[in-house]
Amino acid sequence: MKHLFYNFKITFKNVELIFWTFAFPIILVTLFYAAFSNISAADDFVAPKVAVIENENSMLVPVYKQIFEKVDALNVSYETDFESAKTKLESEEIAGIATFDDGMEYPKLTIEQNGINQTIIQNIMTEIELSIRSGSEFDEVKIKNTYDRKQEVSMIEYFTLLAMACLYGAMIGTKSLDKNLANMTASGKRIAVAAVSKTKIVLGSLLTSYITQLIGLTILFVYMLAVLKIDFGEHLVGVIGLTMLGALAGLALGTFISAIFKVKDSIKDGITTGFTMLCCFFSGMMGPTVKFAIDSSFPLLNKVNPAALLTDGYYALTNFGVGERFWSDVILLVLFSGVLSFVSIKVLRRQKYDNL
Amino acid sequence: MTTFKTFLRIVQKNLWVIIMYTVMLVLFSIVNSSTGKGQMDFTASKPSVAIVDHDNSKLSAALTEYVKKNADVQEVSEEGDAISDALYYSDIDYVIYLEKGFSDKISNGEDFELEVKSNDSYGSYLAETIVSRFIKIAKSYAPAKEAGIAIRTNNLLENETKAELNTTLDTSGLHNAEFYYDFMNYSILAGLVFAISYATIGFRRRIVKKRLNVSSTSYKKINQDLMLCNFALAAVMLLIYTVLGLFVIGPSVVFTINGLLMMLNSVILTIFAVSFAFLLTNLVEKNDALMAIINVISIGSSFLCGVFVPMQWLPDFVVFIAHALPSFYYVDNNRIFASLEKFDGEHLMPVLVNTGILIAFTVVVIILNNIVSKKKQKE
Repeated sequence: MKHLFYNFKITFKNVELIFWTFAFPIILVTLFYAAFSNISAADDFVAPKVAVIENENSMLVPVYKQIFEKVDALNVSYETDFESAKTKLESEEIAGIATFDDGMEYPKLTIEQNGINQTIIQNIMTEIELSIRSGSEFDEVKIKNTYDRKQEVSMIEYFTLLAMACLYGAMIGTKSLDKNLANMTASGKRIAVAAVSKTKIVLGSLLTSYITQLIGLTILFVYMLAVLKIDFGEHLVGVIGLTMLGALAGLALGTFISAIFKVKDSIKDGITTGFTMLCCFFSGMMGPTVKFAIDSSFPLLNKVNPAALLTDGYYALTNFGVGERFWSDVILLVLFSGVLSFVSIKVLRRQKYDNL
Repeated sequence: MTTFKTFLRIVQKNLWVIIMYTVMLVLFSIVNSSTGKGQMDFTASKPSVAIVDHDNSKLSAALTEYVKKNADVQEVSEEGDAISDALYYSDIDYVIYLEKGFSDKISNGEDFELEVKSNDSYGSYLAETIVSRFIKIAKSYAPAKEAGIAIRTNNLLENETKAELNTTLDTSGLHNAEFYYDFMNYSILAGLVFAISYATIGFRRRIVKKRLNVSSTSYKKINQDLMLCNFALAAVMLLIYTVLGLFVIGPSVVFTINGLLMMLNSVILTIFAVSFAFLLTNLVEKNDALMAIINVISIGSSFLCGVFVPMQWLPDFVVFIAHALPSFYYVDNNRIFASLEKFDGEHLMPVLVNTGILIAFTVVVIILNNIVSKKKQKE
């Protein structure tokens, strides 16, 4: 208990550590929230604007005009001068210009760039042309969409952020363990010659780290749920459980870095930050498409990436519920933590020094 | 030379940071690059579609052929969550299920409901117009024999509204270049600023500073040498990024006026980044704190200024805040260069304003740097 108390005191006095564990994820999630608060509007359909150049000598302009009145998917305006419409096209006020030659010539479309809006205009104009050519009005096709999108793809960003917060816990683990290692710190040297159980001290340090991580993650989680109102769906317990497992993976990572790398404190922090950011990049933090591309092209990479396993676990849980995929992510995470812990124990066990 | 050698030794130790952010830059650009480079004619955007054909009839084959002409038809496994994953990540926009009896229902002119999975994106809207166009026309020829309907539908579908491009720019290629140079904002602000700050901070440590103060080399000379080292490192990094850009974007885009302007824009951002890194080393003494500040600034400005999320999707208040950050003007310039065709005063004015503001940010940082530096020297 005494060890725990002192460990907490030391941990909470370390400003940088508290920043990475508590403040950085909250700053980042606030930025995410600001950037993604409008993202659902990105896929909302807005009818592309097209200007029709009126030509009195064209027999098709009146026919098209009549049809345009019934078409909601196009925002049609009428112009008499091609050059003024062209200026609007160049300044991206409109996406296309439809011009009609004399007589029964079908219209020609002028666009500024290739794009989805331009393709939509061309598609609708083609459909009108085909309907006129066939001489019949087509019946609408009944379509049933059976895909139920449970959440926006931007949720992946929040999942990667939780994963990042879990893995940043590695910094606490590294610092906690370092202060018990004789080859790293002065306090470690003192502990090495003291008549106390090393196992107790190390376990006490690791427990403190884990509890500190959980406190940080709880604050982050409450902030996301209560302040930002991010919806994690109905499997909240599963999300919390997975986060706790993620914190354990972070701790195992920190222990591993502390045990394996005999370098300066700041370099260990650099390794943790670098590794975590790279893992988060592959998990889709800088764009969810990256995760899908990695999953499709190099599936093995994200099977050993703890951030990707956590992100995929959250995704599986909130989209498909507790199932095979979720458990597979959980098992791989346990394996990741287990292997790192095993190696760390092997390296740290019975370390003795003749001199330092 | 001694300063340069020491600087280089510290940078070498942190080379992994630069490599990491470079890998991210290349991967991000490759993943987000669109196909269709070098196209000067109208090319319809192709939605990603998957077709699950359980009917295996002539009509379902004709529909599949028509969709293939107008969309990127992808193979996707029906097992597990493959379809849901692909729709969620927008790898596929639309999945069409052609159930047994699809052909018979059309041939007989029966009313039926087509089952699809759509992620409600623009791509899915496009896919829906393509599929429903085929079915509408096919139904209009019913009742008739399947083969006859397929032939007549295909014949009519050969007609389409002609479209031509008003521009001579390779818009797809420039769009990819825009992605690449935008992401460079993150790589430069995170990787380069970290490498420079980390190396420079080594000279700012109290004990090293004391030794430097009593050495025969003047403080000014050391500062000048350090500044030269910083710019040399920045120049090497920019050169690497430009060479990588040749592979990722392609020389045909990099060496256009627009591509070269984007490159020049990145040079101006780099000059700002170097000055900013120098200022940081004057303000911050601990490596941990340095890393924290750089992470917040690089990720924060990239999110708020439209690097990770396109600017047009950001809410108005975020765009308003972003105006206070130099990255905003850098990203906005890239956006303009991606479609700039006329290089007259009127069209270049927004670019000049953005560049002016970016330079003003740099000047302010240099002035601040001098003030802080002098203050520290007195201490």
